[in-house]
Amino acid sequence: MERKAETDVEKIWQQQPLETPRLSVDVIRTKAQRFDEKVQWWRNVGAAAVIVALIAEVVQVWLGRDVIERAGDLLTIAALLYIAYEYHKYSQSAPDRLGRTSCVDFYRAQLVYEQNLAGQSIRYLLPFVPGVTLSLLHGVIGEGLTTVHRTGVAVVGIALFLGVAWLNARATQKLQREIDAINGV
Amino acid sequence: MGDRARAQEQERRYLDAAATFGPALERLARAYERDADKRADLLQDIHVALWRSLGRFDGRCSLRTWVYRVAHNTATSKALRPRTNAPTLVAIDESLDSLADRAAGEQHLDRTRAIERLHDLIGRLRPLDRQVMLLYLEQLDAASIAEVTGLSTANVSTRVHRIKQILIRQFHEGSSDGTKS
Repeated sequence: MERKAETDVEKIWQQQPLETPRLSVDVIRTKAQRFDEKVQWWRNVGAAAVIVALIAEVVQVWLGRDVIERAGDLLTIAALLYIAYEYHKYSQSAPDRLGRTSCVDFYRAQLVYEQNLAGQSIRYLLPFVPGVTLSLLHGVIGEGLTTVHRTGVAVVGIALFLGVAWLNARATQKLQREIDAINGV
Repeated sequence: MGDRARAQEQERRYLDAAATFGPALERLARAYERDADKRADLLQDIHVALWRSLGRFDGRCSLRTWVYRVAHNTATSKALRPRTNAPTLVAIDESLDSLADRAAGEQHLDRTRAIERLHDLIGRLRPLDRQVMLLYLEQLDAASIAEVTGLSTANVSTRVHRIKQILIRQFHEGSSDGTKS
């Protein structure tokens, strides 16, 4: 009896009417080629940008006289090489990864990637820095503002920073719970 | 093997996969995306991903395992991105009981409503449970589901057992007068 119920449901599932006309192989091939071309174009643009920046920094190190300035340029070169390495690693995601990776591993990798994005609070906080800093400075040095006003501006600024940080921390924790659940299966 | 021969082989594999698994891929896309336009986009994305991946298919797993992995992984990355109005997803052993109970009270369940209810049920599941349920509905055995998902066979068996219980409560008890199918 139970087995009949299961097969009935399976039958209903597999006999649902199909609505999408069959995709032409030419359309799929063309879209796949366009996708590959786009990926390659962005790789080339990224590589060109890094090379130009590296050349500019090397020239500055070569011509610079001040030790601190040259040390700063060298550190920038190191940072550029690191970013280039990370970018290269990210862009090497092969098309066969989707077929080689099990669903559990793929989903875990997705969550870790999202968690890394959410965890980098500084990426989201930085855009607020100029505006909030200016507001605070204006609040502090502005004439005609009472202490209450100045305190209010400072509190709003700090609350904004803490609020964004809290939201990011919450998102990170939620993703971590999901990752833990996957690791536990 | 030259580029031309490789491209021909890739196309042959794709045509083979699309002919064999095309309907299953459409059902899969429907289970991940309810909106018709987005569903069509998702299905196309799955086919493009399949085409690209098959250029490097080396036969270390079966074509079926490969196709389902590509499809589920593509769907997971495209369709399960966080949405502000998305319903809370649940695990198969959590609050699906309440969903099943609602259906069990109904005596008449025609085919269209049964499919809608099935999609409702699947749409509320967390990714891994959703994948197991969809593969089960495509009649893969526990070992094959384990190979696609990366879960252990024992884990898959437990989930499948739970899925069967829910399906029986949802569809069999609710249509015991023979109106189903």
